Amino acid sequence: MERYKVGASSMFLATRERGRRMREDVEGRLAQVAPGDALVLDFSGVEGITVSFGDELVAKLILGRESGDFADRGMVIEGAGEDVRETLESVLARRKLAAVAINASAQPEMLGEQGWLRETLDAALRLQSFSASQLAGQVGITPQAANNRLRVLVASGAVAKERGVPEGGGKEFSYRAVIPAHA
Amino acid sequence: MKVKAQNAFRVSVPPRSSGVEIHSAMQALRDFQDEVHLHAGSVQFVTPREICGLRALIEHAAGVADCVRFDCPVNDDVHRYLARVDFYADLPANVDLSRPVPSLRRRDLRQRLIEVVRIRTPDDVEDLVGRVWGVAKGHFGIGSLAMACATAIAAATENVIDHARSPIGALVCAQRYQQTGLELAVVDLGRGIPTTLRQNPTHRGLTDLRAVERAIEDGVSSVQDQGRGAGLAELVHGVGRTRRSGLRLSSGRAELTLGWENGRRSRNLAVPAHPIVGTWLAVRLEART
Repeated sequence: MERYKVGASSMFLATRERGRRMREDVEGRLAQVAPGDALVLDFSGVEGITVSFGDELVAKLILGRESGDFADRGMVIEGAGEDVRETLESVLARRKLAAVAINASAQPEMLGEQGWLRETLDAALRLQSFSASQLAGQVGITPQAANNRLRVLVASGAVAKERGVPEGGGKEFSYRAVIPAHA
Repeated sequence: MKVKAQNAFRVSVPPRSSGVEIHSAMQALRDFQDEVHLHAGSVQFVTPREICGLRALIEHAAGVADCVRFDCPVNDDVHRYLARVDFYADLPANVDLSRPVPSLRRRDLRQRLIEVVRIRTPDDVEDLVGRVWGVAKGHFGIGSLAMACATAIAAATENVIDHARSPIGALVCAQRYQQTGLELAVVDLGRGIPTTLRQNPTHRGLTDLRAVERAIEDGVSSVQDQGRGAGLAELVHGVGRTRRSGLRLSSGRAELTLGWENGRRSRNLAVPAHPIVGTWLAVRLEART
């Protein structure tokens, strides 16, 4: 499990430029993470962040994942205190995005959560490794709806997506929950 | 402001400035002048807002005049205080002072004030925010007040470097008072909020009043990007989290004053006596929650 330390202790992180530089650094680290594994963004010690910093670091990483960047590996936020979490919630909600975080009780939760995402995350954690149709069956939704939810779940960092070739040809994606201690 | 029939353009600063004479002079000082004479001899009290504004006026005047003469306050305490906050530091070469700058044996007042600092780059913002955060935590402890200080400084100064195109960057100054809490100010001489916001076609038709009013809403920006437009909204949110605080945002032909007291918010939007060059922000935070 790779870990990226976002800041030293007692830090307040500001500016879009600093967020951009750190995002590039994180992307470099993500490139070294093995497919199916996850990178932990460790916010422990960081006492506050600005919206611009959070948007440039976290929201744009999620946007990149939405476009397919590093979608075969996970990314999890950990150690975020109350103020940092509040800002990240705001940042993600403004862009209608979600990110997965490990809370103080070591439980996974969604930041910027859309109502149905928690239910889908729980199903993914139960299945661990699954296809879209298996998730649809677990949650009780259509395969199309499962695909839509999986797109958000993969972008959030909770699930990695791998492309396979089924026996009959064509393409098929498989999914794997990658949250540390829950995968 | 008094303009006398002499060669020099003259500006008189009253004992307790509200900034009006500074705004008026900024507007008037558009064309080349042989000499600008700033009379601040009678000044008895200055807040961070007027310190930044006065310093901005000196720099603006130095850019349009051959020579700027600054009459320093006669009151020794005020003169020494201005020296202490680095008001006289690194003045343009064509600025003459009426009195020598006192050499100070500096006590460590980093817990009480932030000297006049110029912000031009993201690195400047980060350095300043780091310092403000340290000072705010040291005095107020970790909590909404410290967070409001750091957020306000970060949001306001980053907004200037991102959008304002201010020739002098952003001037920042802060002071803690025993009675009224912490005051901080950010002043720039850039394009101003209304002009900047109207770059976005969505906001093209806004008056100055409506532009300043809209600029503090989340997601309202000069650019059409879903993730932008948080700066001033974040500033207002941060300041509003404290029990008692106030914010004064002045730009162009608009001045917005917001106040918070025990969960109640007051708001006043007005046209200032003189249009304001750039953007002036002043924030007051209660002494303790």
